[in-house]
Amino acid sequence: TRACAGPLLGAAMMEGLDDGPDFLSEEDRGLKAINVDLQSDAALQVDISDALSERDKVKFTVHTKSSLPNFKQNEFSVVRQHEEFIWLHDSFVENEDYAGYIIPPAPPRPDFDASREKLQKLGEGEGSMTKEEFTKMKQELEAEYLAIFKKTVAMHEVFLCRVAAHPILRKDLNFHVFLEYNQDLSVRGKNKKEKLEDFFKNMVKSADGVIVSGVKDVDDFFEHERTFLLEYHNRVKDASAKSDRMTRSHKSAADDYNRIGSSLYALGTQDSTDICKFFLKVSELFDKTRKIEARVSADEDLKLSDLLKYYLRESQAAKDLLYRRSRSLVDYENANKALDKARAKNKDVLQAETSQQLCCQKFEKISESAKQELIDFKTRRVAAFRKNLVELAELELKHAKGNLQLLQNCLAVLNGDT
Amino acid sequence: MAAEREPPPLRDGKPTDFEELEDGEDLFTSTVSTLESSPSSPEPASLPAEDISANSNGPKATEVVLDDDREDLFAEATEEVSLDSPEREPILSSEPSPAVTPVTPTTLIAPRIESKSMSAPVIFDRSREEIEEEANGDIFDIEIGVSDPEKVGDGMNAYMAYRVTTKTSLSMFSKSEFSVKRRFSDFLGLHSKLASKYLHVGYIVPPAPEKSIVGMTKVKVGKEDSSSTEFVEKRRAALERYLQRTVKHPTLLQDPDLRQFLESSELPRAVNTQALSGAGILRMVNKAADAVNKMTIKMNESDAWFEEKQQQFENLDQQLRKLHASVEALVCHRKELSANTAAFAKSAAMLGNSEDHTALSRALSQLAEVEEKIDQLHQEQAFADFYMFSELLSDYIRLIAAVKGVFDHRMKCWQKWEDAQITLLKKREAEAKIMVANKPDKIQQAKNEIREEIEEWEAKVQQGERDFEQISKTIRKEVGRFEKERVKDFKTVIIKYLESLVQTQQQLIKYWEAFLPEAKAIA
Repeated sequence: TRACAGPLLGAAMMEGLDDGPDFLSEEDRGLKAINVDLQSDAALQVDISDALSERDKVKFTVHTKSSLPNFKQNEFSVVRQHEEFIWLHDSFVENEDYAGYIIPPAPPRPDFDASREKLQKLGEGEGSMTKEEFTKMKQELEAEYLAIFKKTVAMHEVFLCRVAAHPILRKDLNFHVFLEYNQDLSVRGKNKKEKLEDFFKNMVKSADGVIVSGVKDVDDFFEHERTFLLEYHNRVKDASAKSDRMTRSHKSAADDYNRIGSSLYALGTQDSTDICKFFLKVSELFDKTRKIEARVSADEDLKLSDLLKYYLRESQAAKDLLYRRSRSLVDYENANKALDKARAKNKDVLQAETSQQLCCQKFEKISESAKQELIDFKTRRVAAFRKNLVELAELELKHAKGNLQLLQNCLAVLNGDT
Repeated sequence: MAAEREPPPLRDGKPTDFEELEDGEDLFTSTVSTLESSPSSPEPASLPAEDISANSNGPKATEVVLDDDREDLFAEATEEVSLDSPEREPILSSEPSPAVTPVTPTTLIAPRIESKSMSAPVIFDRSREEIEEEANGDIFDIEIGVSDPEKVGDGMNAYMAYRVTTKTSLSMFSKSEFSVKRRFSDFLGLHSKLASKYLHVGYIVPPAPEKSIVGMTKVKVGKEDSSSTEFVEKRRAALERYLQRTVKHPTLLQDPDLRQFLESSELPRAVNTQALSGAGILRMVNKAADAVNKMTIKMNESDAWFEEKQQQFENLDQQLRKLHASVEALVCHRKELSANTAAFAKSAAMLGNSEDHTALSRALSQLAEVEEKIDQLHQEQAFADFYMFSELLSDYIRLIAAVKGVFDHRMKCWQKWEDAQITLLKKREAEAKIMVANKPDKIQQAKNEIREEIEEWEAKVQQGERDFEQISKTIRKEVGRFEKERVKDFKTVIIKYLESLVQTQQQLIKYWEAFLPEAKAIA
């Protein structure tokens, strides 16, 4: 995946791209299978091969390789924006046929606001800091921007990969259109009226959810899943928020190292005694150790915070599935009651019977696929956690060892000199 | 004006008779304990008797002139302006005039004291040289510890008592290991005494730790929370560093007040250290007046070294302040990180509890444990960040203020010399005028008077020059010593700090290495 953030930051940004190759490749490797254990098979492979950041929009180049007869070619690319991903996701959600599946969660909207604001502030404060400090901070912010950019690319990619890996969803027509149609899908962002309708729909849903989840399920499996998911979702939400705060504190501390390094450097160049060399060496140490600390923070963000955030969304999607099943169960039960009433009055019995049968079928279909979906969900979850926790530990170790070596080398030099 | 006095030559370092109010940056240091309150202080009339025991010159002499000091606070503010008032001299004793210029009763006794005390310096000089040699040869064997903070009393009158332990092989102490109990105002009192004796002759007297009304009130009121324990620990460490720095100074180590502080079980209370006491406010006024005066002194710097050094210290001050601010931010963020890590650990534990896959659940619990341990690490690191790095910087910021103060004293000294020269010139002109006046009956008397005055001012000019040369010499030496100490200090402390960082990383490695197989075990 090549990421290219364009004119927003100007030429200077491009220079920053070559900085720290390690950082890029680790992410590249990690992100695709970040939170899901996906087997890509030859039948359908999707990835985001390129991305461009333009003012308010990000343009993703969606690249498909497929041997399926559905497509005109074996390999092709289109350019899509975030709204089009949302459209695709929503079309899945609204499709009754997919009621029994966990719909892969939509990728979050690309949010560069914070980063842009920081860059702006930096520009304003340029006069109040030394040239060296300014350059340092600019590089930092650019790296941050790049990281956010790569993350949003990864999120969008994962969504597509999940769809492509799902035996039923991958056959969806809208999905194929999304992948292949090389014109703008003209999926305007929802206008106000629609947004309002959505809002009410969601409100009703959650109100409903409360009522529906009060009903104890006859099926043990689903009863367990419901209890589990409700609690799990809340705890993952909490853990995700706390992890976020932790990684951000880590980053703040790393930033302080940066400033300390600069101050030590100034001291080193101005001091009249022989402590100059000493200060310069320690300044260097802080600069280097700061880079490592920043990486630690970034890796924790990736392997822990992002993991938790993703499973926050997935567990929500799983909850939605349960809700739909419960909804259809309620419908089924209502249909049963209506049938009894109709039989009792001997009025519209056939209609009631048909209705009841439909509801029954729907409910059974959903239950069957839901069960499999939930089992898959667990498998995916365990695999993703395992992968990320292992990688987290390995990276933490790598960085701590790197830090340790830096410190020990520096101490050796300093002790040798004095 | 009283009897003619023959000022003894300015002696190196043993300022028995100097009572100028210290001009240091420490606003709230005490003046010497009052005559009235200290039971051991002698009556003015009995001074000479006490003084015969030469070794106790220091404290007694300075105690006597306290009353004058307080008057002098105001006097000094106006002193620079009205120089032509020799009649006021005996009272304006705040300058480093060598003669003891106390309240009138002792003026008569003054010459006797001087003759007695003139023999004293010889002994002192020798032992001071001895100590200096030891310092240079690194056999400087004295170690101070401040420990065991203990709350004494209740309510607003409560205070913290600290144990001050001295371990030494120096001969001037009666024992090789001893300890006493001291309270914070005692330390301030010590500093005040030392500052009043040594600052104005160019010695860099280490500043005492700062007062904190808020912090102390919390402790007094009996708040047993972590912030008051932290406050007490911060203060204890600061007091220890303060004493260690003070004893490292070869001249200060010699001072009897310091020795009394370290050794004697009972110390007269320094009452004027209270922040809002009358003396405290007077000091503030004085300081303000000083600031104004400083701006108006335009010195002809004949020695580029001083100008250069002042600039260097100015730069250093700025840089240190900046660095200090960054380190304080680091301490703050590290503490935040610690808190957030602890919160995450709990959250991860909860998540592990609700996870229904057994192996993953266990791994998440392990992760929670690791994060909890890491939180502990962060706390310890923040501790090191603060006590080693941040406090070193704040100590030096205040030390540099003391250095700047010493440079300012030199300027004042120069000003005094300059003023004396101007006055002398005026007197000479006056004499010339009298010589050509046409009033023969008045002429003889006037001639004698003016002759006397001219002689007096000539002496003053000479003294002024000597003082100025002396303070310049002392400052050069002090700055040299200070810079050496500074380099050593920074190197030692920063290396220690880096070692703390090393330890943290080593622990991190241990924790993650223990966790990795747990994560891999998820099946």
